[in-house]
Amino acid sequence: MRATQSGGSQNWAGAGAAVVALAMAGCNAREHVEHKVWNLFAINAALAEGRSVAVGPTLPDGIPASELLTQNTSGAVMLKVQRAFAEGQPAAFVTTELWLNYDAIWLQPLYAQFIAADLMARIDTPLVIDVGPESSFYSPFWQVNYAVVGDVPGYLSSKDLLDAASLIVPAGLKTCPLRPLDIGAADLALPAPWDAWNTSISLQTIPMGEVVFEAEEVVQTVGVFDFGHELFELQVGDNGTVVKTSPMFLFVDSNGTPLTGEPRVLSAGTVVLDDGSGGPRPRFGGLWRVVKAMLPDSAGAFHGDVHIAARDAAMRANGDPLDYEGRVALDKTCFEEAAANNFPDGCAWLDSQAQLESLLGAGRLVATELTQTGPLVLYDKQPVPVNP
Amino acid sequence: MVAVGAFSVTTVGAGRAAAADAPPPVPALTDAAAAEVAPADEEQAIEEPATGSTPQVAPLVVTGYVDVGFAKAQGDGTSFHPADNRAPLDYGVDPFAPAVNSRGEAASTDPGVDASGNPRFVNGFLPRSAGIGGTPSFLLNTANADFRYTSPELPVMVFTRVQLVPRLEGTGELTRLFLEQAFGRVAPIKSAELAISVGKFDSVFGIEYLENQANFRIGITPSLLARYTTGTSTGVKVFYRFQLIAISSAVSINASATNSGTFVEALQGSSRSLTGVPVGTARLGYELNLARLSVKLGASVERGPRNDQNDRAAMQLLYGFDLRLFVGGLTLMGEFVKVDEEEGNPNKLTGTGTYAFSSDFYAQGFWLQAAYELPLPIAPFRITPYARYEQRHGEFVGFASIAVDRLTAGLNVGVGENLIVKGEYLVNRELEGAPSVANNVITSSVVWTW
Repeated sequence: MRATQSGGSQNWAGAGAAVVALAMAGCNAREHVEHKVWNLFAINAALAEGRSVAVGPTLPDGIPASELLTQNTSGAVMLKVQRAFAEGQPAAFVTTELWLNYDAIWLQPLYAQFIAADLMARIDTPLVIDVGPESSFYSPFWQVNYAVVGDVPGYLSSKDLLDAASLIVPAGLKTCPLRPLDIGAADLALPAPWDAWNTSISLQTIPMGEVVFEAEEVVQTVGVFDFGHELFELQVGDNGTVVKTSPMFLFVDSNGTPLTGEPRVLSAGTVVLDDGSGGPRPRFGGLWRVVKAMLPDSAGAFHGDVHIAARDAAMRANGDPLDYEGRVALDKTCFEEAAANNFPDGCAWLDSQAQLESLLGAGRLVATELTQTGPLVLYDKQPVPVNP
Repeated sequence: MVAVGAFSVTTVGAGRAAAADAPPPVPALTDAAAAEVAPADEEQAIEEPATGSTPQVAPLVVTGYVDVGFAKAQGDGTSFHPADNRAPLDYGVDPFAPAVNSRGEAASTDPGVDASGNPRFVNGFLPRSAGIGGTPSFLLNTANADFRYTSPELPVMVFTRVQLVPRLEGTGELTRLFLEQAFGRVAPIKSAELAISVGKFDSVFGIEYLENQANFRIGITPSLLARYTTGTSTGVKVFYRFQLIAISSAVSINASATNSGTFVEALQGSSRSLTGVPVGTARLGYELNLARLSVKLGASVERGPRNDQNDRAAMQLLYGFDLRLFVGGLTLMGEFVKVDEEEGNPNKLTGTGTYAFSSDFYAQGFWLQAAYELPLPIAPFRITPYARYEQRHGEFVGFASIAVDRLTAGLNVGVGENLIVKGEYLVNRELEGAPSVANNVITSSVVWTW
């Protein structure tokens, strides 16, 4: 009898051990995958606390928020311009959102209200949105709609607006990042070492506005930057329409270290001339997929204060060495010694999508888990006009 | 009124009421819900052929039903406003509202396109679709077959429920085959109402799962909260009931550990665990059974990782309370449910496909239903009008919270033991957050039981 009890006990213990083993196997099986959006609200909070954003596998240390936003002498928080090269020419952009592990970003509706179907009389009420900055489905990409709601003071929630509207007219696609009301975009300036150009290049002020949305039965007002129409295209994904990404190349050295201090390279896209100013208006830049460009040992970036012979050669040829500041060459010996005399023509530059694809090859271009906005404010070394 | 054991249970018509934690009066050979939990001796008492000519119950019993409906939904059959292009579209409305049958299928879940012709974006908060849109249509809702084997030697029962669901999809005719349940059950102690089931079995949360099948349901469509509480899942379940004969009462506990908990398969698949950690669910029940009155109360809770993603730390918590009252021909029942799901990993996987990611989500609501079997001497007919009112509040974090309600009224006509004819009208209203849409439904159901 005692032996039987003992055997039974052992059986239960064995079963219990099996359950524990199964549970432990389960405990080690599945991990949390961070997916996150940093918009201007989150970046601003990180700035205030001295933190970085976009921390993830590609950028283990993230990007210091101070690289994306800056405070001027009066304490106002402003967008900070970042350098890039596009089609072999200096360019610059601002970052208003970063997404980690988002396969797709989508379009959200934004409503302006009108009294009648002729759309002549717009109601003096804020633009209405649905999805605010706290949502995982936050997006700066908007389907602008004109809602005909009659002669009313205007609605502050999309439910009320849709319930009342007799007509909804689609009115184009816009890139309008939401912003805390105290973040501005006046006096945008190129960062060092391109700051020397600020005397001759005046970047345009980004138009601003306000929108309202309802959250937890409270109407909230937030600001927007209006980067204008047609900075992105749409594509049909598995579950509906999403915003198409373009590649933004981030250099990574042969040790695997991201060269976050060097200008990125932007993919090609359609560029039109602005009717008013004649300046270039890239029809892209709304949404980028960050792609790592894995550099060989031989590659390196030009810096005038280090590669003095090359800098001098550029100046002798009546060129501006700043045009090449931070630009990466496939073989950095072109900056040095006798080869520097042929600078910049003697270098094989990795300064456009086509150059990257042909000189590095597709095997060294690796898409990352990061996507980001990056509306261009400088293209072909000219300010980009912003038409709201 | 059917006498079972020491108590009597008043019902609203044979073939409709089926309580897993009570010995219910059911049509012989069709009550899989009772079969799941009822001890073998009790089950055999229910199943004993009426003729009495054969004292032995056949080891294998095959039963089933065919549910044929005719339904018409307003608008395009969805809850989506034609001018709404929020992303995800299914977060700002209740896509489950325009249900047309006992499966909870909506008339349509097609998100359609926006004014510019772009397909609207959804993220998997969707029911299965009957695909009829706003077009009136006959539907073969379900062809169901149950196979029940009872061991003649051991207190073991094996049960399999197979369902065929034919639909005309956008890509052509498709008949889905659902293995709704497949489990073995052992009642190890003859003198106790203890049953242990392993396999894929009914929910143990609340009471609405008892009416999952069209031949058990008083009405036609499930409540707005059924999506959280009535799903079948795979794992292990234990039921125990203790009779308090002196006070005509019983208490019961029904507990399970499963892959996915009790969400319907359209929201969380149950055939495998994505996290490696089971979801625990339990209901504690009390019942008072008097000669002319029966009252049943229950409290349910569920906790575990959500099974539409693979982060085991992303938990779901549900709790609820339920009440049933049977007196005369009147049945009153109701349930309150609260749901809290934490945000999970990207690449959400549900029974309907893969989506962007699983969002932080809250919901709560209740339903109340009354049914009264008219005391008419018109056998074999049984006529039972019924009505249900329900509210549901839901919020995906970062989206406007929505509140909807629904009023359902209908008539259930039973004819003998093999036929039920039902018709009902659903009035769906968007109270907060969701734009108002025309999504009322009129639907009917003819259930042939065999």
